[in-house]
Amino acid sequence: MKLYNTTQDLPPVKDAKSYDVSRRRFLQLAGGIAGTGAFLAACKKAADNRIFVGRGDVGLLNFLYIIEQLKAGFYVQANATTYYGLTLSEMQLLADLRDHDLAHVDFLALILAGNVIPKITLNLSPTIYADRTSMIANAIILEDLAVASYNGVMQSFSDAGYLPTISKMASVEARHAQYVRDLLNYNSFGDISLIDANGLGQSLSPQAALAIAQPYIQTQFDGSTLPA
Amino acid sequence: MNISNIINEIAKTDPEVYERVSGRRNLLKSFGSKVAVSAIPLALGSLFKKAYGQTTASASLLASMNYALQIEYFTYNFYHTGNNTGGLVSAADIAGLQAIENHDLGHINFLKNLITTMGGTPYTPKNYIGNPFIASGAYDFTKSGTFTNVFTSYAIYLDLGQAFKDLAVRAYKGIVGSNGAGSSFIGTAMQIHSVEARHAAHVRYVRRNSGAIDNPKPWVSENISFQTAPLNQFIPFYINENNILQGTNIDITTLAGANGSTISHTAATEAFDEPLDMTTVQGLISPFILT
Repeated sequence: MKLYNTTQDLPPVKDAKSYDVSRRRFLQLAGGIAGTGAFLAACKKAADNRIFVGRGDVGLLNFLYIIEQLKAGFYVQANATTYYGLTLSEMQLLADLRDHDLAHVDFLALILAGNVIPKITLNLSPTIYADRTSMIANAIILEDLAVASYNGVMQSFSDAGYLPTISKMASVEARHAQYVRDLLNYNSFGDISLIDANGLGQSLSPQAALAIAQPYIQTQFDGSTLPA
Repeated sequence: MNISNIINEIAKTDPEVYERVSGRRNLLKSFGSKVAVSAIPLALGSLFKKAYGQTTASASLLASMNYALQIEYFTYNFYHTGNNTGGLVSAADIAGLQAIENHDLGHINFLKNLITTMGGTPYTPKNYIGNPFIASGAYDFTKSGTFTNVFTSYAIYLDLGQAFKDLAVRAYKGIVGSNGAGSSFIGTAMQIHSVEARHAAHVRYVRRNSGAIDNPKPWVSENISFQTAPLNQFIPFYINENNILQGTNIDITTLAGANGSTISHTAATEAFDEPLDMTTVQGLISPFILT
């Protein structure tokens, strides 16, 4: 069983910056060099190794980039270690889910160009991929989260040029959400927990969505500039 | 409920909304447990009115909202008719198709309230009589006798149901992309858009499970529509869904796929849904609307 828990297993991203301060290097600095200034500087760096998502539209795009990386990595693993009892139809559509989200990841990285944040590292432990119910139940959480994220982020873009393109990906996420929901519990695609009496689908602010996503991600973020 | 979202959206274009109704806390308090869920659409309308008084939305924004309302009346009446045609819908599927009808009814009520309180006049289908949601002589879903079995053949019913919902998704995408950044309607339109996409995907999934010959996926592959007459009349509903140039003319067939490969052409087109403009959408549904 191969676990895709590391950044190397996802496709490379252009211009990724590394913020990694290794533990070994930190200890070398702290122990070998007596200078207090150097020690404090290293402490500070190690204490806050969160990735800053950026400001304005860049922050919003990087936020979507995080959500899409989460889903893509989740489905890469789900396809590599499929659950028992997978039907042919499910195998085909599970590959589609992965491929669509990998495309969204790569596309957002290209749009962000030099402003893209580094690849994130996932925490795959909430999901037992070999178990059908566990895999699909977690897929539902992530797909509903993605739908609510796209719904909540659009109104904050200042460049209207992003709106048509982002909305093209948003409806695909909603189609994904329908599929995994109906797969586990037929006719639950529009559950009352997601859609209110006015027929409006759930919407989350980027900060609220990021908090829900965090248990699935090892990388920590500074999303203080995102809409709350 | 996403009341706070709606209020936030209004606050973006009108920062004084909270002051108008004596503070956000009081605003939200009025939507506490005392308000029954069924009363919320009505209560929301009075909230807008209380907050805005005579303030009106721009003509173009009202036109967008009324266009959305037109789409909702259209799909609501289609599913309402189907759900109330005895023997048409299979027992296993009725709960899902009834949910679609209910959501669309929610959209109608919501949009009517919103348009009225923003100073507009809500669209009403022609020949609409009696209960505003029971149309008589408003629609002809047979398209002048082209689909005479639309409410007797479950397969044909689902075919049209899929085409109409996929079109609704494209219509809302057009609305979202054409109202400019920061529009107060974008967030709301996105919320409805996501529900329409869940509907479209569900009807496709029902068709897939019922052995439809095109074996549709919940997502739109290439620009694939129905191939045989008279259903091939829906080919224009899927025009340009196979677009591979996105954003700043990025060729999405060059994007990374799984295991170090490049994504397949089909998967690339599935990963991006396409909008349609108002004129095109209205042209496509007009043969189903009586004048």
